[in-house]
Amino acid sequence: MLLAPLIAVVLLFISGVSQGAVSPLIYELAAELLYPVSEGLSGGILVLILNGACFATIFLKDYLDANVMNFAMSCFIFVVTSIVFFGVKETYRRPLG
Amino acid sequence: MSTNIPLLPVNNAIPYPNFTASPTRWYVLLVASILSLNQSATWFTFSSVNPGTIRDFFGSKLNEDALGLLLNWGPIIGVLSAPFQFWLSSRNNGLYWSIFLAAWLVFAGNIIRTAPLLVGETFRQGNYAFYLYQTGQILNAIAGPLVMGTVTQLSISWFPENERVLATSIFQTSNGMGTAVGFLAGPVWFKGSIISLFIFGVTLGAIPAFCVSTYFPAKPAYAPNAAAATQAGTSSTPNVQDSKIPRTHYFILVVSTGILTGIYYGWQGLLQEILSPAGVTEDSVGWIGFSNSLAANISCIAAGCMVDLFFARRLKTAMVFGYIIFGLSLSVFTLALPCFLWEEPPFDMTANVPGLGKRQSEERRAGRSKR
Repeated sequence: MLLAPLIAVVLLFISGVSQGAVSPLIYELAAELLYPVSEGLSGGILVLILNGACFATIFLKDYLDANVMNFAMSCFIFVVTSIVFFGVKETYRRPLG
Repeated sequence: MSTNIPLLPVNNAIPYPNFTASPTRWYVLLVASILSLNQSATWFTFSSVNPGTIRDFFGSKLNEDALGLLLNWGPIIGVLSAPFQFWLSSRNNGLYWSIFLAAWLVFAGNIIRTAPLLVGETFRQGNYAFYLYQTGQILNAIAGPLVMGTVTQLSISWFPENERVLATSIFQTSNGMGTAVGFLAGPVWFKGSIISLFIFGVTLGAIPAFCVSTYFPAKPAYAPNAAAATQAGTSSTPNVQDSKIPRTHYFILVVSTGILTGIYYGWQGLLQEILSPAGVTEDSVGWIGFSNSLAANISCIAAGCMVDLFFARRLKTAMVFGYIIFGLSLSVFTLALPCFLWEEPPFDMTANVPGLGKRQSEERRAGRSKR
């Protein structure tokens, strides 16, 4: 066994914690950036893209090795982090209470 | 003393210093969260039970391909029904109608797919029953975007500024919890009793359907925050120029993070294939996947509290910070597994676990040299 299950649990727990923590922030920032357009639309477009990507991944698993998907997934996180960091300017136009 | 702000469009452009949050907001959030949880659990039902048990009970029609299709209806219908969700949520009382419709779709879907189970073995393994299972899953899948796409709409419509991200987190994580519930309900709670599992779905589906049909306010009596007041026309409306600001940053955000999140959800389903070459047993993969899913759900709510307290209007900073940890942990995980780029993983984690992996690692090397 190359990867002890306990260590895999810890690593995936940390990845789950961080991914889960970011998740609601995406919806919130999306709503802020699209304001004053309805939050239903800002969240809806996000869910549409998410579902499309999820379906593509499930479809591709028959054509790509799991280890390729795993490697690509790890790299893609850093690509998206860079895109968000350099490409997204956060603006808050919504009035504060 | 706080000022109550009626949601009826009265004198426009009047700034209000304080806002009142209705206690009903927690009821609305609870109903929506139960609905979202059941929508996800219903989507996952057929995949939560051992395929062999499914085939014994439903017959040979529910083979691996059919089970895959039942699961894939989620993203397929999710994409196809998205324009409908856009339209419905943007209408007057869009949040109410989205939740109302979703509650009845999930309830109806559960009834339709459960009814054949109560008729008898011949019927439940026949063609008609097979179509009813598909129909039930499709109805449930239509509800997906209606609940998942309205998370922010609910929190902005009902919650004050300092509870908003928390509300978004609770509503959103309930959908993820549905998968965890589905994972436990089949094999653990109902000990493989498929009829009990399906009736559980109907019962859970009846709660939101009953609530939205009896008492589910379309909007609070008083605006809980400035954004809700603005939308209702009770406070200053947004600058007209605001609507002309390019939405480039929005699209960069949702396209990049939406693709990443979607791939991540799909990737979770591949854990078995990713970990098997490393010698991790099927049971261990199940628990690893469960811990990953549970961690995501718990931290989602914790992050909601933290952001409301410390990162209000600094969402990007919190996001980048979270993504860096996410990337680093998965990179270490990847480096400890066999990959097309390296023969021997750079990090052999088992070296740190006394007596656990060294022998098997050596066996693996020996196996490779034989080839």
